[in-house]
Amino acid sequence: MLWVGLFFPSLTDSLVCKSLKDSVTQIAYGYSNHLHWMDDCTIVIEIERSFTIYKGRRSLLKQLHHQIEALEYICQYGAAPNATAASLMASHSILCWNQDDLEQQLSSWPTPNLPLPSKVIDELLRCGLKTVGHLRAQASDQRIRRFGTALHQYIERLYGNLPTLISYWKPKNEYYRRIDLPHAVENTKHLEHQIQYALTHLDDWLIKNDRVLSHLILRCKHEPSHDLTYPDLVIKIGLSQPSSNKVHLENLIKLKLENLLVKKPLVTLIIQCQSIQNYQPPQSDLLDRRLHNHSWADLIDHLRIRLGKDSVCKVTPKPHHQPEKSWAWHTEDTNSMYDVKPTQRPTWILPTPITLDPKPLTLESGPERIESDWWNDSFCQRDYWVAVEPNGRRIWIFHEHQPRTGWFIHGIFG
Amino acid sequence: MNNLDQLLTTRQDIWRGTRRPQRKSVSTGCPTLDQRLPDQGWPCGQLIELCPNPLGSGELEILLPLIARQTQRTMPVMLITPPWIPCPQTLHNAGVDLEHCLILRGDKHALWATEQALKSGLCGAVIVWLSSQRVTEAAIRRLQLACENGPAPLFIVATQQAHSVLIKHAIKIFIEPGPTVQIASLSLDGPTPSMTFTRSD
Repeated sequence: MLWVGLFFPSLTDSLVCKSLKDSVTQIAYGYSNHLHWMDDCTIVIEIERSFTIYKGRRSLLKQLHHQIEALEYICQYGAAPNATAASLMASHSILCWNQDDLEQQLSSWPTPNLPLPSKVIDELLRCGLKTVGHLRAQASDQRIRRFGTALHQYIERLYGNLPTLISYWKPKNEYYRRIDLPHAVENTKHLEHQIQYALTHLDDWLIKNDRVLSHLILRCKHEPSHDLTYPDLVIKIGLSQPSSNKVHLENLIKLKLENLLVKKPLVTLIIQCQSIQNYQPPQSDLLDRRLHNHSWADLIDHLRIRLGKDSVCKVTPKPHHQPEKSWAWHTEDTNSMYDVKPTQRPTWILPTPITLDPKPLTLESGPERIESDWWNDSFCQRDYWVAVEPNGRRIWIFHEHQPRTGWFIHGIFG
Repeated sequence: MNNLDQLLTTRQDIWRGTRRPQRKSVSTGCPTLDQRLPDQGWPCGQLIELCPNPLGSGELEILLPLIARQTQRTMPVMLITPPWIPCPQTLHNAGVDLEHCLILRGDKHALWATEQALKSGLCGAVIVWLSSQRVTEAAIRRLQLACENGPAPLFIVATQQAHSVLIKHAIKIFIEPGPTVQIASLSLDGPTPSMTFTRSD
């Protein structure tokens, strides 16, 4: 194993601390999922497993350095075969790529440069132990007796003889990012650039964490004022299939923004995603290699954003005798099995039966008695007929006996 | 020479006098109707106008075999702003896979949705009912262009005479209630004599 330590002297300032730590952690997670903050200023990353992806140590460190440099904070790098030593080396910008290098460095490492309480340092110096090499040369039982177990264990960890206790950092299951706009925005067109920037960050986060999202909330906050408080401008995006496609999200947000009117200048942009899932690779048919699932889901999302979720649907049969209750709009993408009887039904069903105008009709077939809901108050008794209009169009009509009486048209064979 | 001839035949945009280019088509599901149509089936990437008189004279029935075939091949079919509810039991009994049959309701953005569906290149067929929408010749031309680049035939059910006038350069199918269907072709090589097709043939 090979660990790289990143030491940020400026992280002692608690104001910059959190946001910088988050940014550094996100960058580091792109290089390894084995990372740990040793203290408030030092993060260690295990990089040896990522060498094959980044084509070697040199290339990996170059890219890491390039990304960290963009944060514009002073950073010192260190490397060692174990996490404790990597943390120590980072504080003095020393790179030890193997155990021999490390032991050589430690043998002459001044004890005052160890991150130990001053009381312990004074005691070590009083005993004439000026370097780590001198300290290690002592027998371990003697070291424990004179300076305690904690120091003994620390020295052993530095040399890699004892494992460093590490709880690896894990990404959160939700995404939240607040962007304070550089100037107030009054037109949604001007917001597009900021959204693009925010989505790039989100996309980066999703790729690094190997996640996809199914819902996204974009909240735009207005400039605070004393006279009136406007509610936040909220854009909710729901995806029919979880995705991390930045271009697709961008298009959907643009479609939503088209119809929005900004009444008061916007100053803050917040992006939130809570329904985040692990990424599943798209499935394709064995013979037909086109990736239908993703493109189709993108099209459905595209249509739903402008038309509304309920306007893009499927019609499915329902097991009910009464024809107006025997179908339903279905908006979810789930495969269902239908049990449909092979009885003759018209091609078109009217949403609700309408009263039949008095005109000469020829009854072609029927009657088909349909009775339903006799077990409750909405009892219904009808006789259905297939009739032909004077112009030749075939229609589905019924004579209702209960709860009302009369002739109604309910469907069209066409 | 054969290769050149083949190349010229398959191009849609080269006028070759009375010799028609070979257009890709999908069967209507009815051999007699296939024979009557200029491309021996519904031409892919083409606009076909259905003119039922009155609405519900058989415009959906005539398309059911195509919808069934395409949905069974997992090629979604879009029904855009149908006037009533397509009966799911009838569709299912006709072999339509309801999972791949999508219905778009609401007149407001019907033409936009049609264009998006055609541009995606994913649909097996797109059927749009023009009822109360404001339709312009330019909008129809846009749909025609969107259709040309995709594999799906576009069916426009013109419910008003005003809409029908706007649709040019397409196969027109006049549907009367009862057994007869009239086909008038107005394609790249000019009008052809109208034909009558009896559904029971």
